[in-house]
Amino acid sequence: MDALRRAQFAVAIVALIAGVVTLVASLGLPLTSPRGGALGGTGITFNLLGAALVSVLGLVALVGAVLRRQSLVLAAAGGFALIAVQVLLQFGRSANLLGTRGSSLSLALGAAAGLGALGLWGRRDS
Amino acid sequence: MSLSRTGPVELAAEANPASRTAFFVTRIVLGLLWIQNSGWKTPPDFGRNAGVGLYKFTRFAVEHEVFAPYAFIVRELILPNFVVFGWLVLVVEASLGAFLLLGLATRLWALVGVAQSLAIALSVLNAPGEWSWAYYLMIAAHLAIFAAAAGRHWGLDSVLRPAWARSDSRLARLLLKAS
Repeated sequence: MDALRRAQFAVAIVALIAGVVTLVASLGLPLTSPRGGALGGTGITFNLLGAALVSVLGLVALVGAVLRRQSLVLAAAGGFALIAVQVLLQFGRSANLLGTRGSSLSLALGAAAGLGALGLWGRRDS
Repeated sequence: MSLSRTGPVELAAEANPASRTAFFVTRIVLGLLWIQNSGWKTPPDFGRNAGVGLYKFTRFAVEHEVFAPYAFIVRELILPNFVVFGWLVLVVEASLGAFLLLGLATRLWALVGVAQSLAIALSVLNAPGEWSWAYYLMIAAHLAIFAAAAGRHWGLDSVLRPAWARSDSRLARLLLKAS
């Protein structure tokens, strides 16, 4: 596995773990609870819907890395960028569809920028 | 005795496993620090109405003045436009967490981290109960990962720099400098 795919794999795994852990942490909460389950002491939170979305996007990125499909990696990056926009629009308000806060913005931004950069430069180099 | 000029590229290449690990761990810890910190900057008013959160800590710059010109800027410019400032802090700190954790454009974000740590220090250094060395350590840690170009130690900078070096686009040249 080359360095680029290893990096895509690593970013995807981190996102997937964040999704699964917050999914477990938010079990029992309403699907779109404004306050989500937390990822340990990092401050990252997602409710059931948000955690499921993060898990799916992490999985899509992982499959993209394994199959060398940059389009899947970039699609996952786009999904994380949309989550970042959701945080900016709804964090701190009573309607918070994904149960996010500022730390969740950091995760979404990181996954979007990381997968986006790796996907774009991977496509240019291939 | 001869003196050699060693830049970050040479430092990254020559680093032994122990120093590579130390730079990596420092970068990750700083990333997590900013991720956790961006969690309590809460819109829409960032604590202004209740006098808590970011608003409370920003007011310390005036109530427990550290540096008169900075206190003047906070009193005259930041507090009257606090919501705009709050959004700026939230986005900058969330980005610091994201980019330092990834090791992407690390040297640029390390400098942003120095500036942000300095701004926090100038706000709270004289406030009761604050341990001033925490802020000096934050500044020093960001300077260390800037000097070591820590994104080149198991970060995305190390993966993407060869591609940026081959490209002649302006963005690639900027990212090469930022990493």
